Amino acid sequence: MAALDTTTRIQAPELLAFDFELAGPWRRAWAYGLDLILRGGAFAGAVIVLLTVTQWFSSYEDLVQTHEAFMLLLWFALEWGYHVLFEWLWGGRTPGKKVLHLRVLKTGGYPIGLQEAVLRNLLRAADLLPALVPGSVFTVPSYLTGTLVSAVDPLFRRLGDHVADTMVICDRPRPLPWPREVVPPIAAAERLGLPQRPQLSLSERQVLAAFCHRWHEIGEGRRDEIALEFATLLADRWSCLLPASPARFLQVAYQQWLDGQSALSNGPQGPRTAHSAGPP
Amino acid sequence: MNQADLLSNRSKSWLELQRLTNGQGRHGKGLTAQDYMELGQLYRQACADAARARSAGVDEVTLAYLDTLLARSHHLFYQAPPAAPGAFRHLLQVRFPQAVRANARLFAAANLVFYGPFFFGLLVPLLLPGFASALLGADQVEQFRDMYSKINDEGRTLGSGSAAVSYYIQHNITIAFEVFACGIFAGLGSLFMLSYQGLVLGTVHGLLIADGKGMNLLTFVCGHGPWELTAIVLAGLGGMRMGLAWVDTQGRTRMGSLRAARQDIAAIILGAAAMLTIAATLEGLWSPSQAPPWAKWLMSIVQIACVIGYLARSGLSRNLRSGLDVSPRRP
Repeated sequence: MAALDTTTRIQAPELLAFDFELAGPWRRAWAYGLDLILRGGAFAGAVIVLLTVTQWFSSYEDLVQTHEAFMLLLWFALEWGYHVLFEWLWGGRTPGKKVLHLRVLKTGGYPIGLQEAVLRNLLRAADLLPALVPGSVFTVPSYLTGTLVSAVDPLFRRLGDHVADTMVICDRPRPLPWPREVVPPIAAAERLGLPQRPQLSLSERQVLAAFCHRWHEIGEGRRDEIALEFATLLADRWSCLLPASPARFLQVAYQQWLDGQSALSNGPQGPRTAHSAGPP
Repeated sequence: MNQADLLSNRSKSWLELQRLTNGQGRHGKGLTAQDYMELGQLYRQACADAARARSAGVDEVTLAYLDTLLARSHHLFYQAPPAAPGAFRHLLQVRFPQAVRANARLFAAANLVFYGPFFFGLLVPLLLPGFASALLGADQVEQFRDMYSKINDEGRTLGSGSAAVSYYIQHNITIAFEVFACGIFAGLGSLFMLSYQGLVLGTVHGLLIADGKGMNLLTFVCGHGPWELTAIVLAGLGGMRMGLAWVDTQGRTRMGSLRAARQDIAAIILGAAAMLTIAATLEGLWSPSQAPPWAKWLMSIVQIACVIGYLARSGLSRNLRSGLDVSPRRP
């Protein structure tokens, strides 16, 4: 895809390159916030349980002091171990990243191991600088360093990612863009005047496909506005009448092209390509 | 093959692959061995589909769908190897001491950076009584005096002892990690923090010595110092190694230089954390105990021997540097 896109191309061993969608600082900040809430919740829950239990045995002074020990250790484990363990054992995801469909990968596209998880998360201590409210018990991270560093990196890597050679990608599953429902169904009258097998260039097909797939994301009036210029061009070329809705015209035209293609390969005289039986 | 063909012929197996990448096997919930076999086949087929779709000029939306599908199955197909049993032992026994030895000169420099300010801080309070409060603040000075002047007298119960151990683990390892992480700034952060820690620690000692309570504090510190101080220096070493890789690239790109040093860096900081855990246990339970001073000093000498022996000798018999991951070499 274009260089402006937030994707990175991975060379797979299957002699194929495909694009990973990169996760920018904004999405990652949400995941971090979610993890922060989870960590806080886990700590608060543990404290409540510990306090309740120690209340029952309050006559044993040793035990009461032991709960402080537990709480400190838990705090430490949540602060430094949470991200490391989850990213190591859970395929590069913390719960927050899972919710937002983010995943940490090596920059080569492969899953990370313990070493990457440790390095990128220890380096948080540098990425979160400067700490806000310095000198308080709880440092409030600003993540200014990490944000600035990732802003100038094409893979959005913060310092920890640079050292561990990792990146964060977004792999939210997409629905199969097919079969695409055309609402309302195309009437035969709408196809009148269109060529049986419209000829479209690659870029024209791309434009039509993108437009039709984003049909529901665009408001109705805006759709016609966007479609007008291209629809006029096509109507002129095929010397047919432009209907009241140019957007609808494009939708019908795209469908006509697709149907023409299927007819080409399924029809009795249509040439079949060598590979249509499916991959080996 | 044209777009319509591709979509109508192949979408069924794409959906199958999609189901597998969502972690849903054919039978029940998890993926069975058979599911994984199928995954491999479906994944390779989808790769071929994507290549054909690209060359046939299929629209971007379908390509994006295929790319996401491939990304998800690629991750499942090329999973990271599971952590081998004994990986951590291998790290501590072989990789960590080897990494320290491989960076022996830098380790010496890190020691200088730490102990130089340490001894400076030790001497100055004896000559300039106001120095400690100027550096640490009057409140802190009082706190230190109060805390350390009778530290060996009270002993510890199980409760207060475990609380102390946890506190030392949390506090000291956090400091070590920060000393390490700041090394990314061309090593300067580690240099500064390491020397600052040395200065503060030295000043506290100087302060107590000037008060005439020096022996009291030293008898406490000697119980865990060999582990703790060495580990702090090692955390600094990790940070300096990282910064040095960034600055002195030895003909590599900066990223390539970091990549080459990454094995050592990870081993050093994990090893330092392990040493600090040992130190914290000693600091919480043994150092404040009411054992006689000679026993503590004897123990201290044993510890020094242990630390030196560990860093100098451990992993020597396995001279081969380990491979790519923390996993141990299989015979």
